[in-house]
Amino acid sequence: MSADKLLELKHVSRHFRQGKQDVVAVDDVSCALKRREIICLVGESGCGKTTTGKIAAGLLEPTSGQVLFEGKDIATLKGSEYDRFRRSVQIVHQDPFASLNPVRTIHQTMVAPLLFHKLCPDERAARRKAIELLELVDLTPAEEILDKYPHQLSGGQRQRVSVARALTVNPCFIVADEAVSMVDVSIRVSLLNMLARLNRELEVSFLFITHDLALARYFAAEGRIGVMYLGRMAEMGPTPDVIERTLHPYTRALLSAIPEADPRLTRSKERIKLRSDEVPSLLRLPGGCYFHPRCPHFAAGRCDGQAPELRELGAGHEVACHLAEELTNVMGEME
Amino acid sequence: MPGVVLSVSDLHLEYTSRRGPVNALRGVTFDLYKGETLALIGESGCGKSTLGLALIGLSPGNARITRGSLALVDGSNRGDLLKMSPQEIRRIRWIEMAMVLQAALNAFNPVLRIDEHFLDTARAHGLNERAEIMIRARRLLSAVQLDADRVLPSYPHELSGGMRQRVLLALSLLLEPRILILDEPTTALDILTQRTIIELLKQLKAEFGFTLIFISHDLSLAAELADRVATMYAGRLVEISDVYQAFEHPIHPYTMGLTSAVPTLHGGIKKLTSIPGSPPDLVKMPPGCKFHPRCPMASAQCVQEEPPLRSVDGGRMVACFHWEQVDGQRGGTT
Repeated sequence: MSADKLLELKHVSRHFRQGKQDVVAVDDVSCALKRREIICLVGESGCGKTTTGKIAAGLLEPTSGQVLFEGKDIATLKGSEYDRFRRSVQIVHQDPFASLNPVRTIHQTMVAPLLFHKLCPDERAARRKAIELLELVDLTPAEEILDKYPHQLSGGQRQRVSVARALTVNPCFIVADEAVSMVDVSIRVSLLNMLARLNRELEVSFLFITHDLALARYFAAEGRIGVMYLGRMAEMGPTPDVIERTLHPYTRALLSAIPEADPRLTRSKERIKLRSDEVPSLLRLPGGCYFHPRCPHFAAGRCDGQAPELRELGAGHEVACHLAEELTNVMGEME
Repeated sequence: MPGVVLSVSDLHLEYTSRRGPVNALRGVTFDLYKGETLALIGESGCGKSTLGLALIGLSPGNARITRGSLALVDGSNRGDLLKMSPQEIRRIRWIEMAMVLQAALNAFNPVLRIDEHFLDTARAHGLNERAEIMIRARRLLSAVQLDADRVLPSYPHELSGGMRQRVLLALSLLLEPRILILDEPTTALDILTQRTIIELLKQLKAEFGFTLIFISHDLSLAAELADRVATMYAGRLVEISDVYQAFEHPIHPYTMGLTSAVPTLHGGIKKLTSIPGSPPDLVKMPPGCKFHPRCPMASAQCVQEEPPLRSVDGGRMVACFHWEQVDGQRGGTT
């Protein structure tokens, strides 16, 4: 059912030049996002999650591979079709202090796209629409907010404005890149709950990029999580499967390492000891599986030989690990 | 309870700003016990870092301590840090108390090698035995699991973020401080590196036996490391509790709000609730309890009067008129 697929990354790679070297930031990533779906991309810095998000949003061209929007390669879209793609996909950036124009009032920021894309016939209608959108993201009193400049708003409020601005063009897909990581704990949840409401009520799909697995589990409770490591997808699947029936040793290491806001739980967690704490540089990647120098289950000859392909092991649950079956059986017996 | 090593009483601090005085600390009172790990939690702008800097006498130039006392206790009372001359404070710093600042990764002098950082620090305290200092530096670096041969001759930019954070921990322990203050020790580090630092902190504490205060907006770090948790709001401590009690049975509505707002990886997924509104402007604060505009339990009394921090059962402290009802509220919010 390809009609079900809103956006699809097919074997997408992205290289960057660094001096004389080619750095592979994203290496052969494939994933398809359905309408209304939430996918969280999780990983540590340098894993390529932001680059993947930018490619999905059409802000960065892949070096190889294709991005399909409603089944069509976005590189071949022209004229009004391309415009429709651009409007359908929006991005909300990490830093709400940098992503809003400081010399424009919120009114100016909100009204400009509404008029430019002729989504509202005149200034008055645009203002009404802007108010409606600000209320939708729980920014009230919207009338007052409209006349403010970004510096007069808190970080949380600014991030809501960024979301409202993204909504001006009726997107069906939003890439949210660490969109809540710069706001305080107390406000983070209300932002997440608001985004989840947009997903439910406006049927907006999300590619939500975060380094925080607990946050990903909460936001994508009914969606999927993809775990990236050094540019490759290590594991991807329905959220409960990735968290509770973890297949990749890297995901398992992350889950065991994360401290949790529950003293009894976090102090009784079993810690996985890695063979090395050192993250390989993207300039000197190891052969085979990129995780093999750190992996506690490293099998010489297999893991440092060929790079493992991402393959399906459970329903919709994919993993790139040569040892996944054996390890899953062992883990199952231990429990 | 073991002895007190630091006693903070009614500490007030103001920053001057164009808009008027910023009341960053408004009567902070607590005792720090020997060997414990105290977590200072709260939202940004609540005064956590200001308090940390004030404790060690490193407040910025526009700050003024207007009231209070900071008594460093060592068997017999050693007196008030606030009454000491800058020279006396400088002598005490690093020896009695050391702090690793939040922007720690940029805290190095970029043109000095790591070994020179160790020598400089020791020299500033009158220790000039190069060989002896290097022996100690090597021991500390191996305690933080770094290869001294590689790290000592390196410049800061040659080390990764996690390595720099570990070097700073080693450096802060150079003069065997009795109290170590860490401001956001694992922020900006990746998950697996963060875990390494957490485990190191546990080991270093066991080995060197210092008392630890750490400042963090990350509640899970407090859950992991702290013995006691001090919640800060609008320049005051509003709750001090044992870590289990703080997370499981908070007695201040703000602590309750914070702990109900963090998702976990295990256990059922419950709908999380956030704290409405945002922290007050420290220049123009609301009357009464500063938390009342955001508090689900605020009453007429809360609007008029600011509740004092007082001792309640089990050695806990709380500044709330309705503390006895807070824990009961928790069930209702999920």
